[in-house]
Amino acid sequence: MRLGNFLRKNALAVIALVLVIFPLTSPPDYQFYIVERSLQNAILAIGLVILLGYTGPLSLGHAGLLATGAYTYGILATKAHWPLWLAFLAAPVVAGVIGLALGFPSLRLKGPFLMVVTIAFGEIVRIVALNEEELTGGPYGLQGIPRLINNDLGVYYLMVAATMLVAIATLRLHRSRIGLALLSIKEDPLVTGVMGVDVSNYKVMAFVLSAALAGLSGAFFAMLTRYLNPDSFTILDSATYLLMVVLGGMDSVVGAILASGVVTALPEILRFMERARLLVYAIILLLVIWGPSTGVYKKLEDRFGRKSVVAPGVKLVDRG
Amino acid sequence: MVRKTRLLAVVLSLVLVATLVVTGCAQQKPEEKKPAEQPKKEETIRIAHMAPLTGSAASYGYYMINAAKMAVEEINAAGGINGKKIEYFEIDETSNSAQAVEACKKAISLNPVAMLGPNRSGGVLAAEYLWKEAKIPTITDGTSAETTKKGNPYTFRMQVASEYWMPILAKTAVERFKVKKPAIIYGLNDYSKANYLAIVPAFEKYGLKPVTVQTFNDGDQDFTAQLLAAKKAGADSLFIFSYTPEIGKMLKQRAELGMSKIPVFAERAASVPDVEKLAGSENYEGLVTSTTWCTGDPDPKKQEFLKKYESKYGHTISATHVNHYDSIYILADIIKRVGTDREKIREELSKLDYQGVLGHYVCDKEGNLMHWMHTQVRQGGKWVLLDTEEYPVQR
Repeated sequence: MRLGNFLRKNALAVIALVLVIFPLTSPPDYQFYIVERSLQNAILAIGLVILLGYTGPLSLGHAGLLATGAYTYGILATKAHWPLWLAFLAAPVVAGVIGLALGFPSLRLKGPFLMVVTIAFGEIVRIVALNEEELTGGPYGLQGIPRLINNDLGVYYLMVAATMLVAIATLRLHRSRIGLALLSIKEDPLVTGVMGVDVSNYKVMAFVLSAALAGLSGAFFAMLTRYLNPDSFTILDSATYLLMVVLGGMDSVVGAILASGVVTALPEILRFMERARLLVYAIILLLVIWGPSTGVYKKLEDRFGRKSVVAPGVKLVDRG
Repeated sequence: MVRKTRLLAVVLSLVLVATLVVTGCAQQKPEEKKPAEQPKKEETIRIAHMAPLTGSAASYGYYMINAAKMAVEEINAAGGINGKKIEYFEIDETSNSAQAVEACKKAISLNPVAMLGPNRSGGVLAAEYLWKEAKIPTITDGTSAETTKKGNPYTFRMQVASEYWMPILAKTAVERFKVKKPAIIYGLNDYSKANYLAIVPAFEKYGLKPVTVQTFNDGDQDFTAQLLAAKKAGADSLFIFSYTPEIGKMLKQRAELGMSKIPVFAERAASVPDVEKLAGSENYEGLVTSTTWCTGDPDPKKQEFLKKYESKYGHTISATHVNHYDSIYILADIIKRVGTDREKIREELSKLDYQGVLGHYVCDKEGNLMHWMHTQVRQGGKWVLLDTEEYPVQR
């Protein structure tokens, strides 16, 4: 119980420590790459936690935002020859601006209607990337994307630092006044508005933050694969990101990071099953999600007796 | 807790800023990458095959794997190469370019002497730097001309570049079918687009221009608009370039729209048996495609291969997806002569001149191994050979 308690309190620090030490064990290239992809996915998943977990709207278009970030970095780096760090910073900014545009329909639309808008958005981005050949290379893809730091370890540590910073910032956001506003919008937007909270403002803000993180993740994606092709940004990919968040417990940052690792690594771990692997992968995920809507990490957390704490001293009604 | 995270945040911010500063100032310097370790004195010879076993190209991934496996089993049954057995690994690359990188990393981690695949040009382009860094000779598929123009000495291609698939198709269409007003319908993917770009100049040689050019997105289900646009433009023939599922549906919808009399010309994706299943046999009749091998070719060696394959696996072949059978024999022949040193294998591949079962393979300066093309027409449920062309090899 004591170990559990320790792990719960310091989950993020433990993850950070493991990630920092991991390359020192000189893992094979392949495993290393899977961990890199997991980190990149985790950044996007945390962005979805802000949107879906804290505020409520469901997005099936995040692969489109990921693509926006990835292509922004890729195009600025290869075609416009911007300094790489500027291109890197531009990725979340551009994605954030697109997120702003995407945030506005969220004020009028709810539930399934909003979801359809996000699906359409994701597909539009993919199809634009497919057709704007001058810029994106179209179906041939964008090749030879340089990395911000031209070695594997450098990119890795940059990604670890970014993921952890994003995680800490999101956790703090959760406890802040803004976080409280987002959480109460999720519970009841009407009441929240009556209490004097500018609901529209906060909703759009959640979209922008989430989109910017997707853009950041996209820049890392471009650095990892060094080649971009629209086929990496389908609605299926959006659904996979959603899965990471759901599996991680919807509003748990640590859960999202761990679930990103699991969802990224599982199909690779199952490679020994060859042709049956994707089937088995799907079955495992189904079994894991089965039951109450909360994720596995959430369940473990509950078992160790913690109640969700929004701000010190404030207890929310258990929504389990 | 709060204090601890704050400390962590400060440290991480410093790391982030430091890396940004370092990279901002430092010139990009190419990273020295250790080539993957040469295989030690192992008892087996490892060959990894990246192929689409799941995903949208899965329907022909199996032909590739089966053909390669058949060669491996034959060689191993005959005692292997210099007494060593071949150990063959199939690795799913799902036809997705991001996944191709993952699959290729996995393949390299197995420490093979040579690799086959990935299947699509997008995957080849995404992953080619990996086998360049690891210095592993790789016999790819993919017909986009670009994949062998990257100056990567470890890239070879067991396929014919798309620029050669089209001239002969245009020739057959004009000379044998008297086509005057072709309409083109192609899918927005690297493969189909390359075919479109190649057929236009081929038409120009005969003074022809497409009466209309229509596109669609992969995964589309309804092609009525494109087909009717072609009909409206007065097309006397349809040139359809797409992946397998789309052309199957298109052939069917063409019949439903009463356009069965307008002949269809296509390339290898259309000669996969699954297209016939999708389209229905009656709508598949009369289809003309270019191909690297026509199963109606009377050559006894090819017919023997066909019989062997079909009796072993119990299904019809996709003729343009089985050349890795010869890839395995080529590699076996080279390894028998020079051993398992990857550099030597690469060198031997680059000056290859080999008579295989399915053709005569010669390596040109870009690493292309195949240099011939046929056209074929579907008649009475069988493919009938029409024209044949051989291309000069630039070494």
